[in-house]
Amino acid sequence: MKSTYQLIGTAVGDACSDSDEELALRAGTDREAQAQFYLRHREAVFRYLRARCRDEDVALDLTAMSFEKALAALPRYQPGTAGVRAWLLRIARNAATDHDRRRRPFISFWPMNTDQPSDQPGPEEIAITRDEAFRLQVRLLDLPEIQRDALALRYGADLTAGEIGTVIGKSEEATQKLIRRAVARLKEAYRAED
Amino acid sequence: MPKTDPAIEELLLRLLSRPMRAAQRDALDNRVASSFLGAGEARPARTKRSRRLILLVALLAVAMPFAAAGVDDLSALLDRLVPGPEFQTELDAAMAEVPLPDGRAWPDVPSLDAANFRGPYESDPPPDGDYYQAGGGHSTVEYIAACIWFDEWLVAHDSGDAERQAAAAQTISAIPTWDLWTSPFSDKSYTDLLQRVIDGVESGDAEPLRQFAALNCDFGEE
Repeated sequence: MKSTYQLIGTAVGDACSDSDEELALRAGTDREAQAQFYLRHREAVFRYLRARCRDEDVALDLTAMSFEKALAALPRYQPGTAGVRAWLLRIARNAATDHDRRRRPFISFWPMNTDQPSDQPGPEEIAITRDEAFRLQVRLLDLPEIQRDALALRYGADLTAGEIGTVIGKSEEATQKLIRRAVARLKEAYRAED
Repeated sequence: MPKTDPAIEELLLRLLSRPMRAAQRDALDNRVASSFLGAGEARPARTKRSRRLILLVALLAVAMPFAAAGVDDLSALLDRLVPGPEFQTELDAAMAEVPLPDGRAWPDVPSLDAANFRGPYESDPPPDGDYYQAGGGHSTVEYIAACIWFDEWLVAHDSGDAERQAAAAQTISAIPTWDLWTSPFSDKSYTDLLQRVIDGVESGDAEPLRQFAALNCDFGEE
């Protein structure tokens, strides 16, 4: 029997043409499909949790926890109208909410990448981006949690409004309004600084 | 300064959709791989000997090609995976090249036999078609050799054989030049541990080496 580490390694190069739903259903019983499921969705889950959390290390911990729960729950997964990405991000959101209840009362700044490949911005551009990142983070923290959450799901995890609505418990239309209001509020915050 | 909605959206997209760093990805993959084991696999009853072997394998990550690779592009990892017979060839070549103290021989242990290699929590040898990471065999052999050299130094130290102790110390001091130290299988926590041993050997302090050997140098010899 292949060890789990070998499954993750060999899953990397497998051409998996399954849809998200097909893969999730296979992953209920197939360990190679579980590895593929994890690899397919890990970036989106991490990006959402990073956008939502105050600490990248916390985001990593919560990402791991989310997949632990998701993989354990996959045998019971039933396709729904919003799809498996919404299902998975709801698990991640619940993990973040539980963590927030116990969070430390300080803000940590997201560190920017230090190992830049050659086609990435140079130091001046990184410095500008650091300032933008800091200001955006502060502005995001001023938003109501549900607006911040919606933006994290939209821009971090790349979910559609319908998927986001399933995660946060709102209709697609209400979610679209929520996102528009959040963006408008950010715009207003920047304008007030000028 | 962003003043329009599209500019705000572009800023959100640019900053919130940055990919994970390679180190973050590796750390996450390590943890999730461990969780797989806790969630799904039936663990065999572990003997004291197999617990130490687990530590050895965890340190070397021979059976964890993905977790230990330290490569940015996971798809490139497949180029570095080799089947069992090729892995055994690597083990055999390393055993022919890596030096041992005079009078010492390679132990008869699962780590040096690809057909019977045991990864953590595995009770059976790998089936045909399993893959191992190229380079992992050489690192495994060097690790076992290092432990044998540590034992050589300890025996010499405890018996007061200065010449034998100095010969062992010379080899141990060169460990930072080995693949064991420089390969992707290694990381700072591991090399820091080895450096403590090397510092102890060079200063004549046997304690770091004794501790290391007690925890990490039992390979389940038959």
